[in-house]
Amino acid sequence: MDIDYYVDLPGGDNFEDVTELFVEGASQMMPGSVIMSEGFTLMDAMSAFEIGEPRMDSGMILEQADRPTFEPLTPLLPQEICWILDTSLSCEMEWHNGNTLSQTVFTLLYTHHLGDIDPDLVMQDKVFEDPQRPIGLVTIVLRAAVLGLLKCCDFAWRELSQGKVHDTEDWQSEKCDISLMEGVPAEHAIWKLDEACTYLRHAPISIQDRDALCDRILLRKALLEVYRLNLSEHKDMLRPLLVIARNALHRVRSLPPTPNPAPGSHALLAFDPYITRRLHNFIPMRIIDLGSTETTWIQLGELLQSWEDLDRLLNSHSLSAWEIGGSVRAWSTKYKLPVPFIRSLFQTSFFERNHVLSQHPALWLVDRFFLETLGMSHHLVQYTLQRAWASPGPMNLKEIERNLIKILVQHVRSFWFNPPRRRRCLMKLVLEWQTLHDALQSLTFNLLGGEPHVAELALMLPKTATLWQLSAAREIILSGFQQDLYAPHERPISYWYTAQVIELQLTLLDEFKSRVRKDSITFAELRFQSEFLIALQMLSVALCAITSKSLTLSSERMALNFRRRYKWLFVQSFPDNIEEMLIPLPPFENFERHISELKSGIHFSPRDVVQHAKQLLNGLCHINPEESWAPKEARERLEVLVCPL
Amino acid sequence: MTTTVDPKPVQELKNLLRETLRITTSDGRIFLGTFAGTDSQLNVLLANTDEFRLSPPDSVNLDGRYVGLVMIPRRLVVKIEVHGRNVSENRMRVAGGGGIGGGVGESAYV
Repeated sequence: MDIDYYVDLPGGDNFEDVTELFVEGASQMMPGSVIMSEGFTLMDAMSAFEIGEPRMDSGMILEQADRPTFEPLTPLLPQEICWILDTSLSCEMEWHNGNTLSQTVFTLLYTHHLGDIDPDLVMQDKVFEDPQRPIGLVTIVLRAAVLGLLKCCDFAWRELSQGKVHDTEDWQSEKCDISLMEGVPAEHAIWKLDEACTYLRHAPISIQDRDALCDRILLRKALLEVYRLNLSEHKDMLRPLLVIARNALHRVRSLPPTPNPAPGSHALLAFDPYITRRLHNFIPMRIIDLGSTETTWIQLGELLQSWEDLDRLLNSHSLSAWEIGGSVRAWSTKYKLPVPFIRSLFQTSFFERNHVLSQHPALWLVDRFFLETLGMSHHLVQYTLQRAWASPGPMNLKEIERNLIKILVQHVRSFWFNPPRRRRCLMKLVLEWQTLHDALQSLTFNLLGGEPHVAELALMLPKTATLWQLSAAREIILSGFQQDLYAPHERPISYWYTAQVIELQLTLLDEFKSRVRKDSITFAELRFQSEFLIALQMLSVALCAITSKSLTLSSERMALNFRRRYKWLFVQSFPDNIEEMLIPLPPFENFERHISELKSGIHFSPRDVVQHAKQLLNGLCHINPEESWAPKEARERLEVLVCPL
Repeated sequence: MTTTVDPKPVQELKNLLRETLRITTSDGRIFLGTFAGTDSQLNVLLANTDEFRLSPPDSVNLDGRYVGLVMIPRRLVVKIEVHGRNVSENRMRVAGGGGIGGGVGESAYV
């Protein structure tokens, strides 16, 4: 490849050619010998990127990647601009799906040439005028759209970088030193998009082309308005803005699909999948296949749908709404895992800067926890405890409240973690809930137990934590199935322990139900939980019996596997230092006995049990979802639980 | 115990260790980095390297980008240059009996 040696060479002129010396030196070295700096080892040498090796060298230009020069000011047809805008949206969606910016958005070369196509700086005499390709389509329309695209990515990047989803695990933060227009106010980008619309109204192009371009510009503007919305201050604006974005998307989708540019068209050069070779990112990247335009519209629709879900949750002022809504999305394959940006936004919106849903103080969570689990307000709990306080020292609920808030925030946020991380988070929370249970229990030891309502509160208060703890334990075991973690011989054990955890939950729910007012919403939810869990337990027992055929390992081996798989369930007790289960579940030794009992049962038929479970789940329809703390989420839950059967 | 004395060109190569090298490759790139090592196949290791692209015109990048530790194989090397040293002078120093192959470049200077 020819190099222009008249340009200033990197490093300056003070270099001396030593090529001959290297050739001579290498020829006289012993075969297999190496020369290396002091402290530099072969191990270090192995970590070097090999230049010229396509899998490692991101800067390598392959023969097939040789392409004509990209000229940003080349005039384009309106359809070509539409195609570029649609493809850039596909790139944006692929970035949201976890790819890097250099694989996606930065492959659009106009993102690197915004200065070159600035209409204020373009010398008109240097532009070739073509009546079919007005240059304003590039300098005004395309530039505004690219500016809007980068600004949208900037807002998403800011949300993602808050640490609620994890860099390189959920998303890729690498910007390769390329600007996402961080310093440009969103108002400027919106103004430019408006200007593009104004230009299009008078541009010498056909009405169809004008509509197609205008709709795409308006869609970008609507998206930018949603991205930049500060939900903590203007959450009321979310719904109207989403309606505008939905309408814009609908209009774009209703138009005939944009044809691909003709072979040889300059529009095809607008995307360079090998852009990484020029960016400050020396990790070689896979060239990704962008989805079809139709896939992009679907993904964008899902993004808007997630925002609408968030809007609904923000306006439902109950803990159950978040718990039920999150659970349903975690359980059902009907709902796709939202993109990391949305998952981060849900977590931020739930709890940020010591405020819940941007408007309630953190103590609101404590109040809702007691109200929705125990049927008593936080104030009533506090008042009852205060009245019955028998210890000489003052009652201090503050630490327990702080701990409860911390656990609840983590518990709810975990619904929007990626599934493996959520499972790990719940494992930690099982222990946290136990700590809270112990703290609540030691608090109740200082109460005068004379009055019946005080005695009841003393009994039930610690069990509120246990109820949530058992729910977390159940989710951990069942999510293992979703993530294909269990080997065939582990499945019956997991089903059996699911049934055991549910047994404890059902016992607790019965206790709660007997103490809560029968006409209260809390009671309706407890009743729903009971019936749902009975069905789930039946399914677990049936599946345990069916899968028990795959038990081929010895008891010792299974016990060891169990201990390793369920390590989250064990703690070292104090002061004996004996390993014991956090939750009072039967020991593993009982498993085989139960299985043989199950198999020897003459009347046990897994088919009948499943049929019975189906009937129970169908019977859940009779529980009115309106009698819930979160009617919309309860209806969703019902659809998920009843529909598949 | 026998001490092997490196041939003169090998000693000269060792003298260049930790010097800044500029390597031009056949695909239109220049690598500017610290000479960290080489082998008998003449694969050159450069540490703290910046990559500059001078051709093709569409891909020219004279601002450079940091690529860290790289190994440039012989088949790509067009030219190797060393920064700010009078190599001929060093050759004389080596010839004068200063350097006995101690395994590292510095030994030639001491």
